[in-house]
Amino acid sequence: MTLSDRISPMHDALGKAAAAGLRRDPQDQAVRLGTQALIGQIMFFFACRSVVCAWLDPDNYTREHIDFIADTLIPTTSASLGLPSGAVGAKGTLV
Amino acid sequence: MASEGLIVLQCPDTAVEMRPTATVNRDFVWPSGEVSQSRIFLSVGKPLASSGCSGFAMRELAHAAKVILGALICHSGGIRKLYYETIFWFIDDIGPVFTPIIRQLSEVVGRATIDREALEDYVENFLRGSLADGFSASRLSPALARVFP
Repeated sequence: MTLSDRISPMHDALGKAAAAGLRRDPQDQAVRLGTQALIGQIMFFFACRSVVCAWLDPDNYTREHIDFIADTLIPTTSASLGLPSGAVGAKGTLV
Repeated sequence: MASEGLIVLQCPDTAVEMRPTATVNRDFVWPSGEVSQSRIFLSVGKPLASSGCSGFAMRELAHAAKVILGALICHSGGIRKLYYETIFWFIDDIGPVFTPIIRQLSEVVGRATIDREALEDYVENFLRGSLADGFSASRLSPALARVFP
């Protein structure tokens, strides 16, 4: 039920977004792999945020650090989906 | 059902009323209401998710949820039923989070051939929001807690 009602619809939606970005069929193997890579990145930063924080600077962790992480990651992740991003050099827009 | 300041327990299956005795720690009374039920599911969710039904005794789960063991057994009907109820509760709980994301993704994907910029913007916002959500749950640093109280 978790898989069919929550996880699969989200994977499918992200897969269609990746397919639209890459201009390919959602069933394409490369699209499926790209979707999993996208989900994997997000899940990594959920599950391993303690590792990320420790690696950066846990004693002085501020909003600017999160903006830095987002501004650094978003262009590469977007580019992997064939989507240019204007986030390079951005100061962050977290609210 | 409340009576004379005590929380009266209504067992769903047996319709047997239970009430905490005077010797019971006041922190360990069965809390009635949806908010308290949510608290119980939140409390037992992590141990059940990490170790499954067989990894914990009901006593430990009752302690984690700060409820009377007997009340937890009476209400839940056993650890397996509690496990399934907890899973269903989390499925319902994440529904309001996932549903709008899926709907918005579908909308921008539908327009992607004529409005690619909208897809770019949505993916960027989705990633930024996901990162912010992930780090806002962090309890690593007081500084971070001040950022995301």
